[in-house]
Amino acid sequence: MLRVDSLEVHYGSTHAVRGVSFELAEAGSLALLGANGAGKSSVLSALSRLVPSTGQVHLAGEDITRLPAERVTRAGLIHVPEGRRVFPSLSVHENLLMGLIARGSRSAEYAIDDVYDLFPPLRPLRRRSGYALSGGEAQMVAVGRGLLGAPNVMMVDEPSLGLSPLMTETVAEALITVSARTSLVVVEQNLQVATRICSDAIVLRAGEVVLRGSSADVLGSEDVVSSYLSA
Amino acid sequence: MSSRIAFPARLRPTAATAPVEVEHYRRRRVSLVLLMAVVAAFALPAMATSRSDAYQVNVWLLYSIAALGFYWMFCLGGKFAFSQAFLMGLGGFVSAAVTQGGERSFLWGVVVAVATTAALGAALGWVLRGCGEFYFALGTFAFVQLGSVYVQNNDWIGGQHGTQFGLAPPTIGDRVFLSDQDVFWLILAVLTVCMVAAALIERSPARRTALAARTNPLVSALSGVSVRTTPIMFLALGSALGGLSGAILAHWQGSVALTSYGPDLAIGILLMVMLGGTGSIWGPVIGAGVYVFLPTTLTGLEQYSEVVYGALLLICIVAAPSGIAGGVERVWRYLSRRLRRGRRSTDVAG
Amino acid sequence: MDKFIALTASGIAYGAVLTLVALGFLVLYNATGIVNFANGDLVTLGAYVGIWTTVDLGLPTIPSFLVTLALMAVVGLVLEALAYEPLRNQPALVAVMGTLAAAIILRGVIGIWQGSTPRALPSPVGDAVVHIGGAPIAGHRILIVVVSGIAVCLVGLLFTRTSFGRQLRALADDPTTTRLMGVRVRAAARISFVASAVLAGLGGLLIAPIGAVDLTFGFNLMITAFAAAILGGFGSLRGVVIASFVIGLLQALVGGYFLVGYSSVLGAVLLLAVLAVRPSGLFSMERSRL
Repeated sequence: MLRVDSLEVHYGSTHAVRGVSFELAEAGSLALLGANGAGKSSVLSALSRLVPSTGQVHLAGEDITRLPAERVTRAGLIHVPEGRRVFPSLSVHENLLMGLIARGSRSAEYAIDDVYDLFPPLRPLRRRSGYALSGGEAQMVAVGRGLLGAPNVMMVDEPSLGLSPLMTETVAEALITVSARTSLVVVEQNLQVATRICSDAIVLRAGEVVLRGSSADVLGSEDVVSSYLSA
Repeated sequence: MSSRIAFPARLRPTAATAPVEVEHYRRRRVSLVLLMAVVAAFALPAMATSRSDAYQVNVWLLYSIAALGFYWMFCLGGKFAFSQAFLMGLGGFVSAAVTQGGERSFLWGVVVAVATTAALGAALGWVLRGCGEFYFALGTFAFVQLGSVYVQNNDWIGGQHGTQFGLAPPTIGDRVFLSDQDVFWLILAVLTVCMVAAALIERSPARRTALAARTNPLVSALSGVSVRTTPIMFLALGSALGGLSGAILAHWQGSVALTSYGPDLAIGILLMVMLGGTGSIWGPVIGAGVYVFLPTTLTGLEQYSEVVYGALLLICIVAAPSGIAGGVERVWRYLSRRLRRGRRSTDVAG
Repeated sequence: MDKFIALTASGIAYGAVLTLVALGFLVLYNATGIVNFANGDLVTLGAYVGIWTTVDLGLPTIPSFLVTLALMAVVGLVLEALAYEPLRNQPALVAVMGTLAAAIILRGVIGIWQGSTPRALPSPVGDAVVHIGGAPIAGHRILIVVVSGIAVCLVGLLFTRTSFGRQLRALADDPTTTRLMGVRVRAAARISFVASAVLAGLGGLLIAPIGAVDLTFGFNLMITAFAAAILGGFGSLRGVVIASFVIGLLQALVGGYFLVGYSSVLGAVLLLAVLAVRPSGLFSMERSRL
């Protein structure tokens, strides 16, 4: 579904992502793990073309490497950015409607009602403005908004960031449900959460892939712990 | 829009105003100003053979003074003030009011004009002290509108419908500057003094603090830079140059009309600085020269001059943000590097 | 009493036109993050094109309005392509200087086309006079209020009820994330340049019959509209409408009774006062500063 070959990102003189390659099968799920500054978010930003990069990216066989960000999204590679980025002056419902723009004529797993079914707490908040949402509510809106764009692959950046354990659980459960039908890339610092959602994982350190394998393998590996500690 | 990648998207850094140039060739600035002044003193009267040439040379040098003031406000203070053209006019009006009846001299008029415009610049800076860059610009627009109507409505300053006639020619002691050729010496001397001051400012810590305050207000404030007063200081200094230039212009011409100092000239001053270059004190001088002499070189296109100016400004912003002075500087640096390298290689060879 | 009613009516009519012009700023600012200094000259252009179609070509009112607005839409597209698109990767203030350059070009072109002699646009309702509470009110002022009312309602619906409106508000909130939603940012910029040019043109058409049209006609209106947009918070439709009418009434009443001769700058005074006290505007809540 998604194939990434030797992705490189430079910020000025900083070499943030160094030759990252991976492949994601249909309905596969991949966790990107690593310490702060390991380049996880940069990989996502590069894939959605928010930052310039070199390397090849293929989505469902189509080369999307040189497309502008909005075209990448419309092709079905949907990025749920770090910090949710819910539009503060739009209501919850309007925020979700924004997700529909990316869909185009592609068929989608989720209609707007399905999103409310997936996240029941959002139903009574339909008319509430984005700026009045709690972190967990905002994360549900952000994920729901992504799903409405009919993702071939949905990339979720730090879904558990700043959430209470209970809310983290709700979001994780929803993502597990989603992963049954939709390919997922999840960037996480929380090892437990990430490995529960995703079947596979890669570990980044200083922009390089240092470890890859199934979630169980990675979780059992000694190197993970050390790479986590050595930021 | 694609540049707004950094996530707090609407919070653009205030550094955005004008390109921040790296420091270089700092030391010989004052001597360069004096050298250029001497060259100008010999070359310009020799080149300006006709009456209209002499007139235009004077206008050029006067606009250079005002544009240098705009350079201080915009490129060092980081504030886009639309007020410079109006303050030029106001300088003329104030000096006209002071010298009316012949009791007070030309110098008095100029001093009061400079003090008034400096005070207004500082006041404007203080009133708009908390504004971001757009609101500041819009605030200065409002100030100009307000000031213009005030001048128009009050005979004591604006004369008949915003026009004052009969200003005495510039006089210092017993020396009366009557002809364009006479006034040239006065204007050149004033411009030289301003350029020396500008060169000294470029060399001083004031420039550094100004750039720091602009590019990173928070860190600057934490390191003890007075983020708010630095731009106000440059606004006052820059506005003073506007008043100075306008006052001399008014006395030289013998009259001052509000309509000559409208939005066209305000945008013209922006054009001068953008065209000349925002990274060097020579930018305003070069740009003012182009602004003044361009219409004469484009004979037949006079009626299109506004369109030409606008197109130039646009081209300049799009294609050559560092202006003519920036280009010259690049060439100069390239040549001096080549020269040095050449010298070094001969050393090695020797 | 008659004077009061007449002044109020003229204040309301002026406020209505201000709303149109200020909404032009608002739409464009939301989509692109820049303030368009060419807006005033677009107002002037709208008035002149109206004079051209009505007086010179002799078209009836409605076709002449439609032709004018269509031409304004084209001008909006050209403006976007020449003065905004090449600068859209630049810092906002640079793009704003681009619009200043466009403003001079526009004014220069109008000057070449129409000269500098003031011209007049006859009102579609002629010299009709309506009596309200015994005071004679020019029919044209009623027309202004009705037409701008309709236009403002349309813009309001566009903002709140359509996908495009949502996209605009989203762009104003967070342009990067909006791109991640697949919004075609360039298209949104184009549409808002068109919309703001059309609104400016409509403002010009409506206000022109009240006075004479010259080259600085729109510029002065623009500064007052800036004041309205800033007082209104640049983000909120309601705020801008309220602020426009406040300024319109202030200019008409205070300017009519007390500060005769200064009425046209009362908006500017109010703006400076507000910027001194609340540098981010009156009604703005958590918006970043402009």
